[in-house]
Amino acid sequence: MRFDQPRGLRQSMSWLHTWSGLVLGWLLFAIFATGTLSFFRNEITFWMQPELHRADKNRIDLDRALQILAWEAPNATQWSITFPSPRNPTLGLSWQAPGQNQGAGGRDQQEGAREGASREARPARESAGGNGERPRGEGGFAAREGRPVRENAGGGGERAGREGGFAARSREDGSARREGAARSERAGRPEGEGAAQQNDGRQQGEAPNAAGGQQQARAQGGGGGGGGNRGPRIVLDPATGAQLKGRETAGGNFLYRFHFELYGMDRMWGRWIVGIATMFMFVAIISGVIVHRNIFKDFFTFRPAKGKRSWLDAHNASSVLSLPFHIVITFSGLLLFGNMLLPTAMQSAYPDGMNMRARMAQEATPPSGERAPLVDLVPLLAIADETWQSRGIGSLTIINPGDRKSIVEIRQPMAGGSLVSGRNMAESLRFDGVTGEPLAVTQAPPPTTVQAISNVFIMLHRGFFASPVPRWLLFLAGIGGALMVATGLVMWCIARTKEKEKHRVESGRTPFGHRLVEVCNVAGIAGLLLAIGAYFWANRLIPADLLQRNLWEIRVFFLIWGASGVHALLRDYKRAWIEQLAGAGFLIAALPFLNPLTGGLSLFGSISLGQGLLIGFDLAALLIGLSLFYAARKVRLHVPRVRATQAAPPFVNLQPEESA
Amino acid sequence: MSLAFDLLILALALFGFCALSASMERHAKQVFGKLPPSEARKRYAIVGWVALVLALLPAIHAYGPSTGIAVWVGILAVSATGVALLLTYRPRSLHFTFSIALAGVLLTTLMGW
Repeated sequence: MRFDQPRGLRQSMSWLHTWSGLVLGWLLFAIFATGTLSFFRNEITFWMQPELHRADKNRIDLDRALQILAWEAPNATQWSITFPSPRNPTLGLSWQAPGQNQGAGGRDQQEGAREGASREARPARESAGGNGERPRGEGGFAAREGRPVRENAGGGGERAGREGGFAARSREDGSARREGAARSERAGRPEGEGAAQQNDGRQQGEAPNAAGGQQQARAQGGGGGGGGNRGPRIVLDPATGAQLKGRETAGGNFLYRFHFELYGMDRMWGRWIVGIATMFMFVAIISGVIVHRNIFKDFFTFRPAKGKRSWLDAHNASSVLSLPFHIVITFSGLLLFGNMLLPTAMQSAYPDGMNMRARMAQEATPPSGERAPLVDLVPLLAIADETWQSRGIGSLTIINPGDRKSIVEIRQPMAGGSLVSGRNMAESLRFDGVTGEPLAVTQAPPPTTVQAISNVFIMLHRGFFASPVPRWLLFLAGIGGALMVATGLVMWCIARTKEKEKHRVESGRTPFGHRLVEVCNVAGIAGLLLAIGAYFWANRLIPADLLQRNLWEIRVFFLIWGASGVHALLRDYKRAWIEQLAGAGFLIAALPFLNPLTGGLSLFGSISLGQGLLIGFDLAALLIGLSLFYAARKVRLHVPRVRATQAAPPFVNLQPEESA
Repeated sequence: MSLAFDLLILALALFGFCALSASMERHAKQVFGKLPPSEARKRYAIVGWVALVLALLPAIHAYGPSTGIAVWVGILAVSATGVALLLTYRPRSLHFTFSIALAGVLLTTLMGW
């Protein structure tokens, strides 16, 4: 486009769309692809711990669980048992050792226990508390996280010792500061940042299960999955009560973390980069809608085998058909970064912090010191079951176990029925732990309108649904989004084939910019998928007891991704596409077969055990892998059209470079 | 139970999009071989839009308003993609899809009864 000449709106928008989409397009593809997988990050983490695959969730041996807790943590201030859910069939045990912060309010306690701040972590935490200073802005960021705060201190501290130089320093530093914020809030100081942290923590801090909470330390530094190898957390087979030792894995949390803060750099930098990319995405979507001439007329239109026309159709179809999803996911992505991108809004609206709710959660229950036996839990669970009917029980927490003033708290699963209420609206029931008398529960107040709107977006973005159907729909829409970005990137090259050929005739080589985009396209699209496939393979081929194997999984991911860049550079455009697409197709389609060979369940085994999340993983991997094969085949069989009007230079036919 | 609602939403959405595509000039030619009169196409358009809006009801009933709208949009996207692919590769089979979807609507309604 010439800027020195008058131009129309559509022309300008078209320019904007092209370049805003291209500049960060590969990053956006990576964000879309890993983010789409993150809808199933619990399932992915579970898949990556084949030791847990045979857990039988149909019966729960609660007595055995209590015995283990009494044996492992007789002096704990609270015990928590996380019940099997459709997204995690194991039984999780965790506890809080005395002297650890006893978070007040059931929600907080349960969360804390589940997060399992480790014993090694305590020194780091103490020092962090003493060192109360932290820069502004960090608070807004800490506020975002809520949940991983404590975990982070645990992970960071432990890692620093264990891991030496591997970027641990800055991370520990950050987590220490954040922990400081958490502490000041805990001490009840009406401090802006701390209080904000609490508020936000309630709103979005809780993750569906332990795996979610461990993400911070885990994914960035690697770290194990929900396998109980960090902090006091034990995973049991619900039916037998046998202890399951899941391997250390970066799991789905690595992909999840990567999709919004990348890897290997300061977390704030990663978030800023992703935030800016999201903004570009938003610009590209809006300008794309303006550029697109006939949204309704071309709604169902796809004209295959017509070169550029077909690519445009595919790009339009993948964009328009799930346009509401693209808009919502991009906008809510920005909302999730809101406090970081626009920190002043929060600070000016709440100069002294939103501390009301923070204070509300401060009623700790001190133990009496007298011993008393625990009430029989089965009738209490029956009451909860009856009260909640369809939603079932998420977890059970015993505060001051074995004490006369013990309390039993039973909570619903996190994923709620309504997006409006946010995830902190999982209801709970409280009982006296000795007599079994029901106790009053202070339920969270209903969200304000602004909170409700924010909740809806955030819950949608995070796929927080009780039912798997909407999550699968989001997953499909996410694939649509990845296709939208990919087709757009490929189209940039296709639209410029003519210029490229002209340039090749004149100077004998592809223009630099064009070649750059070609290489980035192959490595950014096919290469990323190859790296994701390799990541899952690494999970199974790296010895299960190797120290820091989670880091090796991540290293394999980046090694393969880097190698795909070199490969794309060395091979010609079309060959590179074929080889990498086929490679990714093979790696991903073979996962259901790799699983039983390396300790997991075969597809038939999963079906007969009713392990729904493994069935879903296997079928999705098979389907995605085969689609990639199909794409590779399509590229291989592609013959570029020769226009009758302009004869193509002969060598173009010999070495066709245009892909399709 | 919930499955019946999911299927009902899907059937209604497919039905609606089939009808909508039959109301569009390009696709009507693909499906019928010739262009139907414009009054007929207008009727298809009305039927299509009504079916799409109706699909929102079971979604909200089964999932509540917030999740329901999300599910509705998601299923619309899936079924629109399906109809677009059929129109590309098997335009004639749209008649069949239309009937199947209608049967699906009736069946799932009975199931839910």
